[in-house]
Parts: sequence; C-alpha cells; structure tokens
Amino acid sequence: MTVLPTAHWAVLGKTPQSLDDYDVIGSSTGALSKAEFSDWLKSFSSGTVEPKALPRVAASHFSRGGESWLGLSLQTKPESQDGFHRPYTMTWHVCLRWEQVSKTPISYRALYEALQRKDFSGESPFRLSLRDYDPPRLAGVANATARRAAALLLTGRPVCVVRAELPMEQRLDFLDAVAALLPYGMRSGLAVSTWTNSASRHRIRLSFAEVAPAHGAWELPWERDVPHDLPPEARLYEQELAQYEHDGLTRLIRRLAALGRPLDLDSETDRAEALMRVREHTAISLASSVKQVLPESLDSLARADEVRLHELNAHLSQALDRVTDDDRPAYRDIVKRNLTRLPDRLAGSPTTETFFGILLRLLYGPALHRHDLENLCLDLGGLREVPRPLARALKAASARCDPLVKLLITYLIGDAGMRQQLLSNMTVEELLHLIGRSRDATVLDSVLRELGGRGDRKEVAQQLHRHRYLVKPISACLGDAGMEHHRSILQLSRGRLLLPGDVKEIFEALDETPPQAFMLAIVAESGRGTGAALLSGLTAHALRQLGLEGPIKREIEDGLTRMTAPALTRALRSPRRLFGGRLPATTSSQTGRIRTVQDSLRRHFPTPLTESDVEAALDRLEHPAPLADLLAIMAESGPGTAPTLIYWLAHRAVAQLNSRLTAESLADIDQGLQRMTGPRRALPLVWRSHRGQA
Amino acid sequence: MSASIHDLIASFVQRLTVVEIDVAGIRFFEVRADEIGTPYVIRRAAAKWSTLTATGDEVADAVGRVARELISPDDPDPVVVLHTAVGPEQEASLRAITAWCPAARVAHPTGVKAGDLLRDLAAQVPLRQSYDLVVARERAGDGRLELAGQPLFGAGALPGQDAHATVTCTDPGGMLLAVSAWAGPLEPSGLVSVDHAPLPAGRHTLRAVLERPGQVGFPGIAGLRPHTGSWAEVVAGLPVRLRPPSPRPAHLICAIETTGAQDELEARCHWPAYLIDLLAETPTQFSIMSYGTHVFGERHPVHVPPRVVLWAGSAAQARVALESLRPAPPTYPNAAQVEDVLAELRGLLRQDGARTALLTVGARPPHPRRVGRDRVPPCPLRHDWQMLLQDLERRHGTKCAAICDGTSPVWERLGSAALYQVDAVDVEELAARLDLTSAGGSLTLPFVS
Amino acid sequence: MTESEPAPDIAMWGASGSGKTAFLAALSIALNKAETNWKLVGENQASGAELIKLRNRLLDDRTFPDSTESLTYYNWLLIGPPEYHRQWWRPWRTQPGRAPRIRLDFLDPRGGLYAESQASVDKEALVSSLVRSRGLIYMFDPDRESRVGDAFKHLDSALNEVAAQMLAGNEYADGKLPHYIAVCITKYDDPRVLTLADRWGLTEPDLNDEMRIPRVAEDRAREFFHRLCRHGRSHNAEMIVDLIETYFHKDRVKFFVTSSVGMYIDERHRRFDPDDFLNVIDDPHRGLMIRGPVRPINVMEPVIWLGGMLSSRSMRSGR
Repeated sequence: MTVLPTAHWAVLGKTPQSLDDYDVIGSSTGALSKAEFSDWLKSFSSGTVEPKALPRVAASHFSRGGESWLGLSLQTKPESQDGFHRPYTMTWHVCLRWEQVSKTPISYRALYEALQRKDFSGESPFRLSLRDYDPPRLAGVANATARRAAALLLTGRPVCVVRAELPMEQRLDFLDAVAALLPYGMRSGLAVSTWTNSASRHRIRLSFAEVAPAHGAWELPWERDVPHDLPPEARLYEQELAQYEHDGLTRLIRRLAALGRPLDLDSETDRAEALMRVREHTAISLASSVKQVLPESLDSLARADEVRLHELNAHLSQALDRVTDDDRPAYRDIVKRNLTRLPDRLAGSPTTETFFGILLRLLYGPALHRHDLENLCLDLGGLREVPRPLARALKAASARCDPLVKLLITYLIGDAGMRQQLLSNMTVEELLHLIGRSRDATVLDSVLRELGGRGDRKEVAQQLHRHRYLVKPISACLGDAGMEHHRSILQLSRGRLLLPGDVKEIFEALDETPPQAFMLAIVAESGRGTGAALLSGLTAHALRQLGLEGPIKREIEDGLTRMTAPALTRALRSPRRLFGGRLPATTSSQTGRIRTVQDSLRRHFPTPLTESDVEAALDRLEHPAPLADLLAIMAESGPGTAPTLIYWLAHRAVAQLNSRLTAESLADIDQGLQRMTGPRRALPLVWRSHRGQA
Repeated sequence: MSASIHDLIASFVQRLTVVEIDVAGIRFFEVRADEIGTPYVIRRAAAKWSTLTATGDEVADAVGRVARELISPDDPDPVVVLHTAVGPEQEASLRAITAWCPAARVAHPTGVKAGDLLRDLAAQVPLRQSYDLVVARERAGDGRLELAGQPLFGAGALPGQDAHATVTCTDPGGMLLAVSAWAGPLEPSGLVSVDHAPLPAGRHTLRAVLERPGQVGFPGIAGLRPHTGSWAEVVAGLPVRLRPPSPRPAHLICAIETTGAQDELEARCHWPAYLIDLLAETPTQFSIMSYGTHVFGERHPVHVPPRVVLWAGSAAQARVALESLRPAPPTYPNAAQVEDVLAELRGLLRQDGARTALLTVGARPPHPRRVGRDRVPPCPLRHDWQMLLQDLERRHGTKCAAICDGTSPVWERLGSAALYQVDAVDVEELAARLDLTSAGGSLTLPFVS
Repeated sequence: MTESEPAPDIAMWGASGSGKTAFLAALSIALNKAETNWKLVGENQASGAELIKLRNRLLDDRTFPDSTESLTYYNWLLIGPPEYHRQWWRPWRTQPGRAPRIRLDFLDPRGGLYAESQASVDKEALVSSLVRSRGLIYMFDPDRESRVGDAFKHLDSALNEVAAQMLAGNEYADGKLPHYIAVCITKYDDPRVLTLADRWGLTEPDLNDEMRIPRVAEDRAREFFHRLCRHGRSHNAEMIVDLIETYFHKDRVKFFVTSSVGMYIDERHRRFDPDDFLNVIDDPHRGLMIRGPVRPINVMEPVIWLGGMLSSRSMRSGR
C-alpha cells in the first residue's frame, strides 16, 4: 500500500422515493462538475442491469480541457426503491488524473479495493490507498482466454467474453489481466466492465456478457479454444504472447506496465505499437536469457553433464532466430572466457555436436562468414584444437556457407578429402572467383593446383583473361612476394613463353598499371621480341594513369615508336632545340612536369637521346622515379633505346622486390630480359650480389 | 354624589383619583383594580395645612407640586375633588388642583370621610370579570380528567347575587371549592378563592353567594375553611381519571405481529410483557395471538391464520407465550393480517361480562376490504376490519389500544383508546385507558360529568 | 456502430418508468396467449437472448424489467401464421403460403434521455432513430403524469428535435411527420387508472370475455387519454393531444389503453372482481411483484396495427 493518490469521486443513483431519473447525487468538488460526472458515467454505462450483473465494476475514461481521467465505478445491488417502486442501483465512482495514473501503474482490482474502503460523503476529494501493481498475480490470472482477448482488442473491435460462470472479483481480475497484456498506456482509452448487456448500446471495449452484441464485437467463449479465423494483427500478438509463461510472463507484464504513454485502441498506429513493444521485449528477454543460459551450458559441457546440456540446448535453440548481431559479441565473450576444454566423454556425443551447432549460430549467425572463422579461432581458442563434435558442427554449418568459407572450413578442420571434393566440383569460373575473394595464399595455391589439373586449358585461359590474370587478388594477398604466382597464372593461361601478342593482350586486359611483381613475372615468362609490347603496354597504362591526352601523349607515343625501332635510325638524330618554341601549356600539372623534364633533357643532351643518353638520363632521375619523368625521357628517346629502358625498369623492380625473389626467379627474369631485348647487351645486374641474402 | 362616584368606581380604566380637601388638610386617594378585577383603595398622600406651609411655601405651590407628582392631567380616568371645608388654604389648594387638572370634577359633600366612602362604594360595584367554580370533568374523547370552569357569576353581577352549581364530591374527605376569575372567554386571570369544603362524597348542589367583588361565599357548608396548600399542587395532583367504582374481571388480548427481524419482534413484545407484569396482581386474564402477512402471488392461495398462542391464561403463561414468539420474514410489505385477528376474536370471545381489551402491536395496517388507490390488495378472505372492530366494541365493549412501528392513519382507529409508537409507550397510562387499572390518586376537586 | 444499424422500423417513446421495457416483455406473452399463431423471435443472438430474458422476468421471476440504463436495441421479427391458399382446381385442399413477417426494430431508450437538454451521443442516436423510423409507440403513464407531470415536456422537446430534422426540407410538404403513432396509455391495471376510467364511465365489460374484464372501447380510448391528460399534475398535459395531432396526421394516430400484466383474476372464481383485481403488488424484498398470471391487455394490438400500417404503406411507396 504505497500509492496514495488523490481521487475525485461521484455517486450516481437516486434517493429513496424520488421520481427523478438516475443522476449524480453527490460528488467531490474542485475538478469535475456534477454535469461532467453525469456525462461521463452515463456515456460509459455498461447497459441495463440484470440481477446477475450486480455488483458490477467498470472502468472508463474521460477527458476534459486536455486533461485525461481514468475512473472506476462499482454498481451495487438495489437496496431501495424509487417513487415508482422500482429498485434502483447506486454507482460509486472514483477517478484519477491520467497524469497521476501513468506514473505508477495501478490495477483495476486495486482501485476497486480502495473504493470499497471509502466513505462517499462531503465534497472533498479523498486519498486512495492502493495496493501495488502486482505483475506475478496478473500473470497468474492471464490464461489463454486473456491472451486471446488482448490480441483481439488489437483489431480495434470490442471483445465480449461469454459463457463464463465466475464471481465478479474473478471477472475483474480477468479484465485486469487482459489490460496487463497490453501496454499500460492503453488503459487510458480502454473501457471495461464485469458485465454488459449486449442489447444495450454501450462503449465498453472489453466485458463479460451473456452473448455478444449483434454488430462488431468479438465473441470470446471462456476457456474454450474455439478456432478463430484471427486477423493477422491479433494472430501475431497472440503468437507473441504465447511464448511467455510464469516468470517470463511476469517480466513481460512488468515491462508493459512501464509503457505509460497513452495509446488509443482506435488508432491503428497505436495498436501496431503494442505488437512492436512486445516484440522488442521478446528480443531483449531472449538476449538476456541466452546470457544466463550460455554459461550454464558451457559449465555443463565442462562437467560432462550431458542431460543438462541437452535441456539447455532446447532452451538456447528457441532463442536462435531472435538473437541479433548486437548480442553476439557478448556471447562470444562468454564463450571465450568459459570454454576451456571438452571432456573426452562428450567428444563423441551428438548432444555436444548439437551444442556446437547452436553455439556457432548463436555466436556468428545462421551463415558463417570468413571473418567469423577468424573469430572462431579466437573465440574457441581455449580448445587448442578443433574437437570432433565441433568439426562435425562446422561441417554441417558449411552447407549454409559460401564456397570460400566452405573451403576455409576444410582447412580449419583439416579435411583434405572434403577440400578436394569441393574444389573439383567447382567450375573454373567459381574457382577464379574464389581466388578473387579469398586473398589467401593457401587457397590460392589450392586453386591454382586445381586449375593446373583441369584439362580444358582454353577455358582456363579465357577465364583467366576475364579475371585480369588475377593480378589484383594475388598482389593483394601476396604483395611483392606474388611474382611466382603471377607466373603460374601466366603459365596456366598460355602454357608457353609469351609472344608479343600475348603481352599486348595481357596489358589490354589489365585495368591499371600492373605491380612490379607482375611486370617481372611477364619479363620472366616472355619469349623473344616482346620488349616493345612490354614497353608499349606499360606506357599505355602510364599515360592512362597520368591522364595524358593530346600532343604530349602523341610525343610520348612517338618516342616509344622510336625507342623500339632498330638502332639504325640513330642517324636521324637532330637537335630538337632548333625547332624550339614551346607548345601551348596544358592544364595538366603532369604535362607541365613532363615538359620541364623534356626541356632539361634537351639542354643536357642532343635529342633524340641515344642509348647512353637514356641510360645517363635514367640514372639522374630522383628516387623513386616519377612516372612523368620516365615518360619525358621516352618522349625524347631515340631509336633502339627500348632495351635500355626495359633493363632499367627491370632493374628497378628487382631492386624493389629484391628480398622476395629467389635465385631461380632472378635467373628466369634475367633470361626473360635476354629474350625480350635480344642478347645484344647485358646489364650489370646488381641483384646478383644480393642473392645470398634473399 | 355617591352614585356618581359609584359609577366612576365601576367604570374606571386604570385608576380613579379622589382629592379630599377638608378642614384639617388635603388627602389624595386612588381606586385601582387587582388582576381579578376587584377594586381597592389606597391613600397616596396626605398633609395637614400646618405642615404644608412649614417650609414657607404658599399652600397653592405646595399642593400644586404634590398634584403634579400624583396626577397626570392627560389621564383618561377622572379626577374628583371632594371639597368639604372653606378657607384660604382650601381655596388655594382647589385652585392649584383645578389649574393643573382643569377636568377635575369638584364636589362639596358634607359629613363624609372620603376613605370610608370609597371603601364602601368599592364593595358594592358589579363584577368586572366572570367567576367560575373550578371542577374536573372527563374529556370527551378518552375520559381523561381535565380542569374546567363551572360558571357562577358573569361579569356585571352585583354583590348579593347567588348562584347554584351541582357537582360530585368523589373524595370522602371533601373537596376544594376554587373560584377562578376570567378576564376573557379563554383566559383565567386568577383564583378568587380556594376553600376546603368538608362534604361527604356524592352529588351536591352548592349555593354560592357573591358577597362583594373578590369574595364568594358558600353559605350552608359547615366547616368551610380556606385551603392553605398551593394551588399548583392541586393541579398537579389531578388524577388521570376517576377511580373505577369497583374492579370487574378483565381480559387482555395482545395481538402481536411477528413479521420482521428478531429485534423488531423483541421491541414489539417488550411493552405487552411490561403490561402483563403490571396487571399480574389484578383479576385479569391474558390471551396472546400472533399474526403475520398474507401470501400473494401463489397460484393456489396460501392462508396461514393468526395463531392463538394462549387463550385466557395467567400472567405467567402469557409471559411464556410471548417468549415463544418467533419472527417471520414478510411475505407482503405494506399490510398484515390484522383483520384476520379481529375475525378470529369474533369467534373466540364470549359474552361473560368481563371487560375486554385488545392491544395490537405491529408495523403494518390491516388489509382493506377492497383494493384502493394505495394499491394494497384486499384481504384474501375479504374480512372487513372496520366492521369487525365495530362489532367487537359493540358486543363486548372492547377497548382497543395499539402500539405501532408504522405510520398508517389506520392505527388511529385501531388504537382508539390509546395509541403509542413502539418507542414511546406509557404503560401505566395504557393500562388505565384500557380500563384495566384505576389511575392514581383521589380527586380533590368537584367532579362534573 | 450506429452507421451500420438498420433503420428501426418501430421506435418507442415514453418517460422513465412508463413501462416501455415491460411492454416489450409482455409482447411475446401476449402473442402466445392470443392464440393468433403469431410469434416473436430475435433477429440476432443478443436480441433473442434479451427476448427470453424479458419474458422470463415477467413469467418466472414475476417482476418487472430493471430500468433501462442505456439505449438498447431489440431486433425482433414478428412472424404470423402462414396464409393458406386454395387452389381453384382442388378447393378442398389448402396450400400453406408464406408467413407474413413484420420487422420490429425497437429502440428502448432510458426514459430520461428524451428530456435531457444537452446533446449526447445517445440522444443523437435516439433522435436519428426516431427520424428514420416510421412507426412510433408512445407510452403515456397516467400514474407518472399525476405525480410528476412531465409528459408534455418530454414529448415537446423530442418532437421539436425530430420535426426540426424532418420538416426543414421539402420532403414532407404537408408539414406533418410521416410516422404512424400508437399512443398507449399504460398501467391500466393500476387501481388509480382503472378507477378513473370507471368513474368517467368509459369502461364496459367485454361480453366476449368470460372473465368480464372491463375494457375501454377502442373508440373511447382517445377520450380517456384526453381526460387523463387534463387530470394530470401539469396544466401543460392538456395540450398533449393537440401536440400529437399537430405533428402527426390525425388518421395515423391511434390510442390504446394497455396493461402489460393485466388484471388479477382469482383462479377460483375466474371472474373479474372489482374489489380485488390488483395484479402488481409490492414485493417484500425488491420493488414490485406480479401477483397472478400475466394477461397483457392491448399489447399486441398496437404492434400489429403499426406493422400492418407500415407494411401496407411500404407496399404502396415501395419502401
């Protein structure tokens, strides 16, 4: 009895022997007038009385001047007669401001009991000593009929409970329980009565009655499961409520009681909010229940209590569909802290396997992703190795995963057979996709091995071409160390040394400047006379990369043509300077830079540059050499200078990848260079001195 | 001269002022009437001529000063000056009085003393108020004793007249003859005299003589002497009624409605029990009857007659019978089977010379013989309670009293001898009114029937 | 909810305590007693349950219905005996035909509703139902009139509202409301009413009635009503007849002297006894009790009259 709000009151009835109609014959003053009370009580009449209706308790609402009220009235059996010898009833009504009621939830029963203790005399409002809102009690009363009644109220139509032979107090408790299964704020617009007359026109939404009114109300037989063709909003709500029993229901009722914002049953939005709120609670409660159950499960696992684990599995599996990603980190944390070992006794148990299956879904959701596997290793790190039940669970889970994860699982559980089967069942395209997504050397190796085993080279070549020779995935996954893999790809795609056309094709397939490792791979795999193709491929990418267009692009392309031409054309060399004259400046800063470098070259060297000039110019470049500077040199280079540039480029790449290259690779690169540019000249390759360090 | 003064004494309103101027001096007299209209004379002032002038004043001044003090010239009542001697003081006095009071009548009688004259004349004037002999008589409705006046002398009666009154002396010790005066037809103004007349019981014709205003004599009653006690005690001692001449055997029938709750029934039985106790030593027989309400609305009429719990038993039996009554729930709210009780009594009562009294105790009136505007259904047996009651009264002289806890006007008839509400019953009075006991002390006043 | 209600064909009208619900309760009993083969059934579950409840109240509980606290709907169907057709080629055999049906959509308001000045949801529903209905049963309670005297006030205020809605347009050019109205003087069994009829020489025994219950002849009911109004507590009551005849076509007004429970007849004599006919007596526990068998007087007649009038009218107007 902690709540002591001030209540206003009114008495509706007659005085003995009076000839008047029912009216308010006494009321408190100060808040509502007699006329307002009369208006209220008459508009929420439960209908004409009949002997079994009395005593009757009804709750209703009223608003005046923006202020809402919640009222409860008790209509008692006739004790006197009016002037027409008709027994008349008295209705004792108390009411509270909604503002007051919304702060502390109050049950109808509590109001009724407080009302009974009151003396309705004088004119002052009185204080009601109200019993606390009692969710466990309400949960005890909320039977299937109450759940259905609450669900049906969400259709916006009144509900009449029929065929109930119950004392009044029990009917009142039922009304309370139904209201408790809805957000508390709905009481602000819910009129209920322990008995209504269905022939009477009344505004009571929830009541007991002999039969349902003719129009618009649901007839709900007491504790009889009559199959209703429930509208979806009611069905969903009933399903939602059906998940709760005992303590869970108590908690739900407690949560609903905290939702004091007034909700109107006439408003579809407000009705929808009820469902939303209950679902919200369901989510929260499941999440918290998993938090409670999971450590116990892990404990049962550790204690090898298979029976208990089995029980808890059932509980956890209920929560599976409702756990959100936000909840998982907490579960992972629990597992990380609590999962240390798996007793041998449980190693072969299907219960353990089920548990791990549930655990995987709890921790990582219905489908495992790549990062989940990484987390898995972290989360289940306490196990040191993947035990059999977990492996089986993972295997089962892999059915729901994408091929990459499946493949990774095979690694995780160390199932080579499975892996092989998996890969061999995949198309070339799928395999290449796998590489594209995996960025994992192991996967890459496996796939390359598989691809190497495939008979249809042509298809493999085509697919590799479409997949841009996997340049990006390989370089993403291996970086500078990827040269050998690039080479493998190139070998797979051609099966021989590259011809100039191949090199051209390859460069065309690439969408950006290839990494150094790939360039070296091409070098290593190139056949004779591919230097020009290599340079032109590189140049094309460089031009595209710098966004060069117009005269400068032509000048560079011209330079390239000269460079790859035979050295004989050197005689045509002439000082460009004489032609002098600057071309109009372009907007590109890269162009500006190229022009500056060109000017500088022309000042230092007669142009076009000879092989030695190119070499000298390249040596003077700052480190690392800007692409623009290289292009400027190309634009100014003379015939037969290509090998110099190619060697220089290869030299630079080798220097960059130095530590990643094996001696064999270096030798292959060297041979490749020879094939590309011809054996005319050998560069003193610096890397040889570093071989031992690699 | 005396005649005119006599008339003035008989007719003054407040007072008659008489100034006597004689040889020796001057005297002022007034005649007034007491509360019962009897005139009396007082001397207001008197002075000898010698003392009047002792202060050195002129006589006229002195007389004028006295006259202004004692006589109001605007008084409607007359002023008479009896001028019986001649002399300068006398003349001066007369002048002074007539000067102050010009309307004063002046007479010059000889050989009279004004005081004596006035006293003689006052004893001879006619009565200003009528005189009655105070008697007791039985009130018309219920026989209760009440005081009444037996007229003796009307206003205007002259001394010497006599009057006769026939009264009954009920007390062997004689009676008190009290004469009261009446200022108006409704209001006794006071007692003229109260005398004790040692007369034997029985009827007497008394002769009263108006001796003078304020004095009535009863010549012929030897030993008459004034009553010395207080009149208020006499009035308070008036018994409720005359002692019955001789006790005859009596029969009290108590009819008690048992409908209602236990406490209601107990309240109803309380007074009959008290009454039975009161009458236990008297030669009274007791009968106890109980009755309830009729049953309506049954397809076949259900009739439960009133129960005769005891017929003509002793007081002790009656008490037991009362104790045995049990309450019954009402089967009809607005009337009870009182008429059935009366019908039952008609069959039971024998004409044995005993005085019968019926005490009905209940909440509900009897059923009417036919339905009326009050919507009470008639007695299913069509008993007519009024006829039955009349019959009882006529054939057995039954006295009927009622104690009711209802409000129906019908109870006035059922309790014609005595009617009480259940919470305010005077049982002694009830017994007396039912003629079951004599009521208290003897009557000391003359009784007229 | 109101929008979807079918229009009440017959609405009831009368002050609080005038016996509206009791009249309804007596209706089915009257139909049974009259051996007319008419019967009353509920059109829906609620109305059916209510019909049984009302009837049981009079017959089994022997008490009157509780006072109506809120607007109550009764959707009943009055089903008559099937009409038999003779076929000309087989005149000795008859063929049962279709049973006539009269829809009785009664609206039973709490009595005070008519007199309430302020607008309320219920009152609007009530007035609109009066507007939509074409048959009215107006209950006049002489007992109430002699004690309270508010019949004129009730009638006047309600008629004003109905007329304001119906006569404002041009639909009823003659300026009269289109309703048929059965004016029922109630509680004829009350000694205060019967005595007046008797005193005014308006009663005559019905020679067809073996119980010889005095009746007010049909053609004298209006006079009785008029005199009761003059006898009432309020001077205004005298104007009620005028008020009715001002608002309604005189030929659509019919007066009935009615009693829901009828007179008490002693089973042993089976004759009306002027000394003992009280059928409604005070009950020691609660209100009023019905003493003997319920023999409604003129309860079925107004309804059948209205039903007949409305169905013939609807046939004419195609309503």
